[in-house]
Amino acid sequence: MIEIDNLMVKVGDLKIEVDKMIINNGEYAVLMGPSGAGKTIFLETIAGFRTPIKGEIKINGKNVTNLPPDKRNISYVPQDYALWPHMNVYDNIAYGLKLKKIDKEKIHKKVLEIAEIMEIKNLLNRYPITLSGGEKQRVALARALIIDPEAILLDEPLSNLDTKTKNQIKDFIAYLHKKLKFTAIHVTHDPLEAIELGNKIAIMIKGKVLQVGSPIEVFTNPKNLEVAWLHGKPNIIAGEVIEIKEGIAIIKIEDLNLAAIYDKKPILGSKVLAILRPEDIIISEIFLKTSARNIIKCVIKEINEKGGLVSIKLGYNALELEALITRGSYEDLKLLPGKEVYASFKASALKILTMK
Amino acid sequence: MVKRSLIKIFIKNEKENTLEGEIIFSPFKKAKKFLLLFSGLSSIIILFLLIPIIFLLTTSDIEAISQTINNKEALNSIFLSIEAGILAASISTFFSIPLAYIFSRSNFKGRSFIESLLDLPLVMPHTVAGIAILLTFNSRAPIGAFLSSIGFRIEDSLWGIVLAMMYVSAPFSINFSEQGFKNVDVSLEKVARSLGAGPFKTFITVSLPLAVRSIIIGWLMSLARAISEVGAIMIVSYHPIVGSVLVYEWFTIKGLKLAASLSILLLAVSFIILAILRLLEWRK
Repeated sequence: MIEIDNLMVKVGDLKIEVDKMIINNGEYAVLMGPSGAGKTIFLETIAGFRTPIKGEIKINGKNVTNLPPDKRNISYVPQDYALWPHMNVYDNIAYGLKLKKIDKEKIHKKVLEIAEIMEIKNLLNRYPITLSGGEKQRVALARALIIDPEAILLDEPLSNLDTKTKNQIKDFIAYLHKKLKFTAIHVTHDPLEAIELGNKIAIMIKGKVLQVGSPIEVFTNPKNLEVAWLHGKPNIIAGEVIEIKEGIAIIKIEDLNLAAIYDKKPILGSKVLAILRPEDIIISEIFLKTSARNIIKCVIKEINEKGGLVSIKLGYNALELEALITRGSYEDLKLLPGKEVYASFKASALKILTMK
Repeated sequence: MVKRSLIKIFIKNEKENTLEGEIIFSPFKKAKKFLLLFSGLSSIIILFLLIPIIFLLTTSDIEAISQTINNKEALNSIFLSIEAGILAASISTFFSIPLAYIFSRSNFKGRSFIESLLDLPLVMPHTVAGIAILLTFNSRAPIGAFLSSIGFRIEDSLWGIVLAMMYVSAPFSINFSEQGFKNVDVSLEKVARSLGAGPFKTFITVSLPLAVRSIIIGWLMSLARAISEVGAIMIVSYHPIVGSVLVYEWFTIKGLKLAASLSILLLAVSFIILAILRLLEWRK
């Protein structure tokens, strides 16, 4: 268990303040926030690379605030993976164990074991420069996990990967966590990553943790506008599953019943988060009969021009949606804040996210 | 003198290598007059540097060179140059490594001031450096007295030569080692620390192996600089006589031709060092 109490770190003008945060053993915590929020600095403080001005960090009850990084048993995985170029994959992975003066055979066994889990057994003799981004990430994870740390700290682990590899590694990390039950703190600016990987999400903006909770909690009750701003792109909708029929789930949000698709069948009556991309929303002045299953009558709250596209913020009671339309249709429809319009989207545009 | 120019070229190259990006746009494209003017002026400086070497090589003949090779005094002086040079370069590199690591990993007040002070030996007249060393380390001065009591007397001894060489060549090993450590990404060290390696272990297993190429280049640069030193050595310890000093002595006593043939032998040593440097550069 990692406990953070009353922590304050200062770097230049940025002050990072965390009153209280607890990460339980086996929990996958995601620290989410825009860039410049101080997420990496917070992570580096937990790792021991930065000294806080005040406050305490405890690992399993032991105060480690003033311990150097090598005495904390926390594995740090930086954004660029930082594999050592002068060692092959095997030596990279074995490094932490070699420091522990364990006999060679045991090290060899453990390296093969973790390489098997990570599906990198065929890479052991290769040097980092020859690896792809996804392979590097697997090696970095193997190197971090092999020492059986109290926690692993992942700094934007998916940000340097292309979309396809990113999704593969995301699924892989979820699988790995399920299998190995390690404790993790994962830093990201991507809400989808947070929802799909985290047991717990902490939102950090301008050095302050504004909200901590399960993905459902965080996205259902945005405590303040700054948190809500994070939903911006894409729309994340929280609701309750009230019916599942023919591959379509009906989720209840406010007094609306929306049809949504899913990858993994959700549990009836459970709370879920669903994603709706702004460009999938069709806006019309009158109620149109189309193939779209979801139609909401809402009010335009805000209009922002974004390059060639126009962003329309729509409100239905407390539900807020962002829609993106072309400048042409914006002018044709003569949209203005306060005007009532219909927002339609297909069931296939609203997708329930798979969570842990 | 020639050698010094070559060393300068090498430093410039090393710095260019650290710059990001390549020259995509060439200012010489479709600019004939401009290109002509600049390459004309450039060839003057190139010729100025190369022609003296050609004259040096042609002044002497095979007979004079073979006579020099068979001359015991000449051969001994060249070996002494190499021996003292290797000692000087190795000692200064050994002490430069920790200093260079501190410079590359901390940003304390007055760091750049200290760094420029340490470059002073590169710009001061070498006779001046020699006087300063002699004043500090002669066996009647406190430090010198201590050193000679433990067997390192500098007057007319190998150690005097080594000290003089170290003084003028240490900036090279410091600067190159520092550049080497600066090129090692800090995150590589952070990971090692987080996996349980202490600061010393991290240094030995991660930072040092990754900087070693630059450190070797610095060592070779120091060696080349040490072997080429004359002024400081003549003042601190004229005897036993090293190659570069013997060239001067032969020039005054035996004449230009024999001095030139000894010069050719010394030049060969310098070229070997330069070739190794280029090889390291090329293998990068």
